[in-house]
Amino acid sequence: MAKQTTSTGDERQEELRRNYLQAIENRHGDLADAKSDDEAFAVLDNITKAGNALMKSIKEGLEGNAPAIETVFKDLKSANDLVETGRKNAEKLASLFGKMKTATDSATGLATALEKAAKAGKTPKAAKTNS
Amino acid sequence: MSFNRRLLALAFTTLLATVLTACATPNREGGATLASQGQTTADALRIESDGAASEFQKIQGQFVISTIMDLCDTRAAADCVRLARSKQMKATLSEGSAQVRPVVELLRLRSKVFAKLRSVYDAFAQEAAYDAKGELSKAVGEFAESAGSFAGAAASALGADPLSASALSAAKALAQFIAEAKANADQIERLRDDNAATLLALKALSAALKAEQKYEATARGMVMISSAELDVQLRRAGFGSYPARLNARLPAGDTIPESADADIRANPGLREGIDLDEELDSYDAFRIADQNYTATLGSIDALVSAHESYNAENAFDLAQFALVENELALAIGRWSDLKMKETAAHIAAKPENAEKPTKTHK
Repeated sequence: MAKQTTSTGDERQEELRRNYLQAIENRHGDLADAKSDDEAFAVLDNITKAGNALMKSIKEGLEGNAPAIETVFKDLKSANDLVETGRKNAEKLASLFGKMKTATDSATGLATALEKAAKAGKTPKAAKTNS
Repeated sequence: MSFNRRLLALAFTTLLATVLTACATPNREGGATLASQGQTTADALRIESDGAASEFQKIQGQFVISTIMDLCDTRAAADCVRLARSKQMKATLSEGSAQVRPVVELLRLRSKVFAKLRSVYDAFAQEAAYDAKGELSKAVGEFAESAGSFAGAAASALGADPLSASALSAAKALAQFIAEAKANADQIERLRDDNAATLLALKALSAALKAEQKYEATARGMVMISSAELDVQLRRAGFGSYPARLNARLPAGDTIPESADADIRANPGLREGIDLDEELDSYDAFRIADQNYTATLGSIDALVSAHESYNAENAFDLAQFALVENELALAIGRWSDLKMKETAAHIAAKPENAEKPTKTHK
């Protein structure tokens, strides 16, 4: 008979694991010893029940911990959003200065044009006054 | 105080600020290394988790085959076929199938968490790769240049003297220094916050996975047993040599040679963790699965340590920077006031702007 050792888990989980392992280990010998179809099916039922009980415990255990996993999922999403938003804001700031440069370039053009227009307007009057 | 002396004072303040903020450089290289470690770990965890889910999906099929082979090994061929085809056998074997699917879906949910973890590290890597200082400095420098040109054009249009080239150069240099220092500080803060957020999420992940370790390890143990049982049946039926997959599931350093039976009984080291009966029907799969899963969780703990180290190595006193930033802002304000007063004084001093004497009428 095989020796079972497990390092973690509560007593129930260990018991289920042990039952399943023993059923599997004993299958060959028990099937060889079964004298009828019914006895053979009883051996298989034993293994199936042990396997199903173990799978059910896994399902319930993982489902029970699902809220914790969902929370982690949300935490990771928040961390992801924080990282991306921060950098995008930095990129926006650099882009903002670019837009401000465009605005001041336009304003410079306008100021220069106004100055030229003003000078063109003044010269004929100045000439008339000094004549 | 003359303009040149004021410029010297400003230069001194700038130098002082530079010295004080000399350590204020974001540790992008450290961040990139950490991100890379995170990406590799997240990928490995996801692949392993996906693998466990896929293998679990197969266990019912493997059980069916190994059961029928075991049945046929202990019975005459005619009886074996009759039993294998019976309704009772079908009902017995199909019961397990309904249990498998929900477990597979739950295991795959864990894979999705690791995929999300990978995306967090992708974003972290992008931040570490982003030249925040360079980009902002360039943008501010170009704007400062443009603003200086506008100031000159506006002054000229108003009939005032444009700002001197040295004043413009000092203004641009100061603006770029402020931008670079601010960009650095902001990126340090972002990397620090990103690191902290990821660290918190990782700690929560580690705790959540440790809480369900026995269930995950049980599922993986069932996978190992199902697969090993099928291998044993195939070997019994003469379909192959000793199952190589058994070796793959042993703790590191343990291997089972081809002549397994005698070697295992004779070698206590090989027996540790593996206890096989004469027929080699089973072995300590659950314990091995627990050990392997503990190693998996260890890689998450290693990431947690790496994040904690990054945190400790990159502490930056933002309060100190805020003080320097405040001083610089005051210095800029004083300089701006002085320039405005100078410009006004220049305009007032122009002959055309002087008060004209009134004419007397005879």
